[in-house]
Parts: sequence; structure tokens; C-alpha cells
Amino acid sequence: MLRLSPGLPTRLAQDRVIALVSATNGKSAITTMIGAALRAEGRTVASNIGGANMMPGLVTALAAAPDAQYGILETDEAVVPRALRELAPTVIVVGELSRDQLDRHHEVRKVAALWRSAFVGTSAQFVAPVNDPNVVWALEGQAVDWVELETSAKLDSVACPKCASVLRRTGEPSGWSCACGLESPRPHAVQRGDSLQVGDWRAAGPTVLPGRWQQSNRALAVVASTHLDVSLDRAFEAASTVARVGRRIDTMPITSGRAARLVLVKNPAGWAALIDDLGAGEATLVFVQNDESADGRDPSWLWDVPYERLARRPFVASGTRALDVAVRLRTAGLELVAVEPDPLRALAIAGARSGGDVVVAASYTAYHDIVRRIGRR
Amino acid sequence: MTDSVMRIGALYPDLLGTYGDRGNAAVLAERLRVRGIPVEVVTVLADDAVPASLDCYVIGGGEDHAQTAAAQRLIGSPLVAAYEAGASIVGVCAGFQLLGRTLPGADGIVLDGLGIIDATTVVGATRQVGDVVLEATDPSLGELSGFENHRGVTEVHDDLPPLGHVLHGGVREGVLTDRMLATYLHGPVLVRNPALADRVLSWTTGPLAPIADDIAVELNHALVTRFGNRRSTWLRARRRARA
Repeated sequence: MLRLSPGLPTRLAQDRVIALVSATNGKSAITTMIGAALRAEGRTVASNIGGANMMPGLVTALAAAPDAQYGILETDEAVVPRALRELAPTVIVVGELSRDQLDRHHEVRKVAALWRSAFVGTSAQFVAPVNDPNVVWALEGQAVDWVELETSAKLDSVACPKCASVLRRTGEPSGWSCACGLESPRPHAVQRGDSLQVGDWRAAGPTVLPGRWQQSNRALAVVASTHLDVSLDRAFEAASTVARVGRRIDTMPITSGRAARLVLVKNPAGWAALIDDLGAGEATLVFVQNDESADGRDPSWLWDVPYERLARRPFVASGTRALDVAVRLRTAGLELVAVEPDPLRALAIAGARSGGDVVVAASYTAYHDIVRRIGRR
Repeated sequence: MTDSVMRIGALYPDLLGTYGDRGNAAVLAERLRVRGIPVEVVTVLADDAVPASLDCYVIGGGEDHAQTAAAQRLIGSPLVAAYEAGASIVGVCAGFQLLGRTLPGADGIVLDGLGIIDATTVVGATRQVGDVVLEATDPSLGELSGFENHRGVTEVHDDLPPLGHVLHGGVREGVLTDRMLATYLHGPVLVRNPALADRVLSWTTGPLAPIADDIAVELNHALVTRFGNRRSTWLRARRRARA
């Protein structure tokens, strides 16, 4: 592991405005959107899009743009305490926490506990969703602009993080409370579908980035941008028109002009959002699940995803854990076309089936492997 | 089994579903459905009462706070009486710990368990994380694959047969009796080990015929081969057949 010279992060962060962005999902998109809002105002930004979100990645991004006025940094959940200590951020955007690669990450409540103790005494301004009891508990007593998001994972917030009682849900989508007094805060901003309301200000419209979850990411990014002196109108416009996050791509060629949609999906919350997005369409699914360290060694979480909602849809199981995928999706009622560990061959099988659409959902290393191999063709 | 329908209770998947263990009840039901045997999965959520009349109760793993909430609900529930009356139980990770006498709860407290097994759990020095292959105590179950991710260390004081011993290490793992499976293995364990799933079902249904083209058998062999550090005779036979 890269050893950083003591004091280097602090020196690099000095004399500029730092914002940290952390969550289980959406870090890269939110970070990109805030950067776009600042650049739309003509300001210069250092940022670390693309997954380099441990401390060396943050420092490298700051060092690579020494004259940038702003450092907008996506930050791994476990790195937040150190980044807070050494970079003295002005704004911290905290998205929802949900289970993710439990072989190497902490359980959700442990992440929340880590944050809660790290946040004691900070003067940073937070932006966070009211939906997530773990996040609300972690931010008790802090200055927070609370955002009510339309959709929420809920999977890891049944027991109260404060007292271990079972939480009461008090109205959809976001209301919840506990006998111990912990409850969903009153929101400063509300996202419903493609609209966002902040006080008397309201705007609506699609995001260029595909996926309904981008509307939640945009809501958090826009509210955060206002704390960096960007107007709501400018921030909403800039976040809406972000077309690409880092080196990620949205489509990949199949044959003769046809293209498949390519989606990076890493965990149950990501899958729940993708299933919402896929809806009742007929597209063949190519599901590529690897088990490298970055993917998580344990794909047990496949059973936490409601794949039953995709019943009867054809799928090709791929990746190093193709058989785990095959058993899971077949049990959920999907139609197994083939088990093919190689993702490009799996895509060819799906593409040869019919003229219908193909959606490739890939885990972290599978996604980057596919992008690299397409680039070489 | 009443009216020839096997009723499987998935207990608190909202509290004890952190590690995919809800797949155990799902795959038990699926393995009956493909054989044409009627089955009903009764999902018992945190606010629901535990039914007394189910054939099999399945409990999974979860975080300390959720486990504490689950323990508070299970103590005094009809689960112990149902077990004593002949129902079967599958407990995984936190579910295993809850079957014992005491276990660690949230914020360092010691919780009472159900006392179905004379076992005690304490917090270990380090977290055990990774793929495991067991040699099953019952040789007809072959080698078993799972993923462990826990800090609890459970000592079984009863003279109950272990589920198996870790390959190459010899450490005992879990408990398997004629009506109870308790283990730390996720995966989910009954997905990765179809012979074990069928054993659990057979406690209620009696002997079951094999499933044709059982992809779960292929999964079991692939994982046992990969993580057991030696090639299975099954896979070698398949390769020869293809060659």
C-alpha cells in the first residue's frame, strides 16, 4: 500500500474548498455532478472519478490539480474519518448505506457507528437523505440539509441503529420512527421522480445519465452545490446534463449496428434500482458476476435481490460465479439460456437469440474487463 | 406435514437476512416444487407472530442489533415447542448462535438464546472470513461448501454430531442431527449443497428422488473443487466424458 508523507494530504487541501462524497452507491455520479455544477460557474475542480477513492486516490487527485480551487472527492466509506481529519472538508455528502461486499466491508451499522464517532466536533455542513436511519443516527447533532429521496433500499434499516428496537415505518417513502426518539428528520429538499423541490424553488426534468437512481444522486448533488455557492438553477442544469461518469460507458456493440446496454451493478441496492429501471421489458439479461476482491468474494447477496420481479425473462449467466447466478435466477423464475463464464461470449449468445434488446449487468471487475476488451477490438 | 403441503417458515429475513440466508428457505421450496411436491413458504417478519404449526423453521444471520431484536422476539415464541413437537430447524450464523444458551448481543451485552442446543457463543479475537469446504460427518453428504463471515465462536457442549470438519484443518463446524442443522456457513449453505438441502427436506417428506439436470449439484462440485484445493472425481469424470 502507498504510504503518504505525513501532513501531505493536509497541505494539498489547504487554501481550497473540499467536499467529500460517500455512500454505498452513487459516489462517482454525485461527485461528477457537483464537479459539473462548479465548472458551469467557471471554477476549477480537482476530482477523483473512477473508483480511486481510498486516501492515496484522494491525495493523487489533489496533487494532480494543484491550482484547482475545489477538491470534490468521492471517498470510500471506511476512509471518511481520515479524510475528514486530514482534509478539513467544508461539505460532506452522505448517501444511503446498504450491504456491500461483506467479506471486506463492515456491516452497515458498523459503518454508521464509525462515522458517528468520527463526526463528533466537526463543523462541516452535511447533505444526507432522511430515508436511511443508519445515516440519520450517524449525523445526530450535526448541521445537515436533509433530502427526502423517492426510492430507498430499506434492506438494512429494520432494527434501530440506536436501541436495536424494530423501527416503525410512518408513511412512504421515507417516514420512520423509533420509541427511543430517533426518527426521520423534516426534509429541507424533496425529490419525487424527476422533480426536485428545495423550499419554494422547484425544477423538473430528466437526467442524461440513464437509470432512475440518477434522480436521487442529482438531488443530493444539487443541494450540496448550493453550499459551494452554486445557484440551484445552475446546479440542476449542470447535474442533469452530465453524460458520463469517469471512464464508464453505457453501451457496447453486439453485431451489425446493434448495441447492448452495459450497467455496473455491485450490490443488492444497485440491483434493486436496476430492476426498477428494467421494469416489464423483454430485454435478455447477461449477468456477469466475478468474485475478485473488488467484486466481493462472497456472492451470497444474490439471494437478497428480488429477481422474482424479472420472472420469465431470458438470461445468460456469466463471470467466475456464473453457476451461482444461474441457480439464483432460475430459482427466481427467469429462463436460463446458457451458462457461459466469458462475458463477451455470453453477450454473443444473447445477441444471437433475437432482435430484442440486451442488457449486460456486470460486477466491478467484470465491467472493467468488458470495457478494456471492447476497447481492444 | 399436514394436507401433504410442507410448510417452511422463513423467520425474520428482514432482521436476519444480512448474508443472503433467505435463499435457504427459497431453495428448499424450489427443490420440492420441481419434484411436484406442494410447499408453502411462510415469511415471518419482525412484526409478525411466529406460527406454531410449521414443518421447518429457517433462521439466518445478521448484525448485532438485528440479532438482539430477533432474540427478544424468539424467546417466548412457539418455536421451541414446535421443535419439541417434531418440527425441524435450520439456523445459520446468528441463527446458529440463537439456538444455543447464551450469545453476544448489541453493545457487549450477553443475550439468552433458545437453549435448544447446549452451546455458548462468545466474541472471538478475529473475524473469520472466507470460503470453507467441509468433509461432512455423514459421508453420504460428501463435501460441503460455504462462506463464513463471523466473529462469534460457538462451543457446543452437547454430544451432538458436527455438520463436518474443515478440510485440511480438521476444525469441527456446526451441528447436524436428525431434525436440526446449525452452521456458520453462508452461501447460502443449502443453495451450495443440494444434498444437505434434500436431507433437511427429507426430515419432513421422507426420502426424495434426485432432480434431473440439477445445476445446484454442478455448483457444489465447482465450489468444492475450487476451494477445497483438490479436484473432485466428479469433475474429472465430466471432463473425460466431454473429451
